[in-house]
Amino acid sequence: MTETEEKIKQWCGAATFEEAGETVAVIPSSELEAVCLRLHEDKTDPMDYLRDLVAADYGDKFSVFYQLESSKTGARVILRTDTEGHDAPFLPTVCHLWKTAEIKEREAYEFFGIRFTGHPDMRRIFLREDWKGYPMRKDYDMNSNPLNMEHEVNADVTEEYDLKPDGTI
Amino acid sequence: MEMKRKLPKIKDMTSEEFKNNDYLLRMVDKLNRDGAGIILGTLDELINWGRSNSLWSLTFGTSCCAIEFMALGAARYDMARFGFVVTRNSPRQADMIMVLGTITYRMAPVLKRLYDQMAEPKYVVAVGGCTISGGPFRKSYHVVNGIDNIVPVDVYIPGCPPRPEAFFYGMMQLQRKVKTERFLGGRNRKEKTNETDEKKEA
Repeated sequence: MTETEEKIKQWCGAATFEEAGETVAVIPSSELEAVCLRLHEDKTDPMDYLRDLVAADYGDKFSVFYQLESSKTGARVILRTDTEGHDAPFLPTVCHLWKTAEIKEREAYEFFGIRFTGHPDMRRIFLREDWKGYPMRKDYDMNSNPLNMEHEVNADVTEEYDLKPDGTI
Repeated sequence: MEMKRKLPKIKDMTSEEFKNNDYLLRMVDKLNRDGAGIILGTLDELINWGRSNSLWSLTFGTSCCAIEFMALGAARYDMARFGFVVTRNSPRQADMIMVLGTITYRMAPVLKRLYDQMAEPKYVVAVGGCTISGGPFRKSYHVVNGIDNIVPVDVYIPGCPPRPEAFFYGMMQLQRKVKTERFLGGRNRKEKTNETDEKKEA
């Protein structure tokens, strides 16, 4: 285990490690914010670069993978968080640590429906504004959005979801 | 140890197989010289020759085929010698629209709107696999399977992306299509107009 992984194990006892090509640290979603903050503020390898934030659909739950890197020392670590269940998935946001997470979390919301609590601008980014459904879910119906030649109405005012951690708006 | 390199065998097209649609031009030329329309015919020829050699397209490069288009405009494959020197930025000033790249559901109403804003006579060239039928992204949830669902297309240029030579082949087809038009109008005598039909019924 590399140093970073040992540190994660120290901070968060519930973390487990999996092998999927690279070692992935699985962190429960309640402890995610604390671990990310500590990794970001670390003295030896500050993880100041969020390389990517991808979501995956595992049938009964969603997972979000965070790929972090330290630009000073080059150390890398991969974190994984799971949501509880398939309906109304919520996860804490990390935009206050890494600004690029704003765009990536919007993408995860748009394609999977995972809402990030505390995100300042939770709306669709790539698909049309009047798109229904979340395309990358396993149970998405491919024909549910036929070609619509009407121009999309660009909302001048977007709703800003600011969810409290227990899931209420 | 020397390895013998096996060069791939590329089957060439024979000259007879290469369909160029040249016969259309020769046909129209023959008709004009045989007296099918002396004054208007020659005037038509002149105008169409001028029009076909200066087709200015609207800048509409969405995706990778646009890069091939840029290669076409560069020095090695020069498209300025054909007349497509500039691309116009406003649809009202453009002769034709070359749709380069994948058209998604989000872009489709925009494309239709730009096409409607162009002034007649206008032409549409569908470049690349994505505009012909969706291309490699045909099964996607967000890609239009062929822009002929949205706008009427004149020339299709297949390829992913098409080679610059294939581009030129398609553009020359469009030039031929323009040259064989009857720009100054004229009645199509074979077509039954509503007038003669009504007279016959009366």
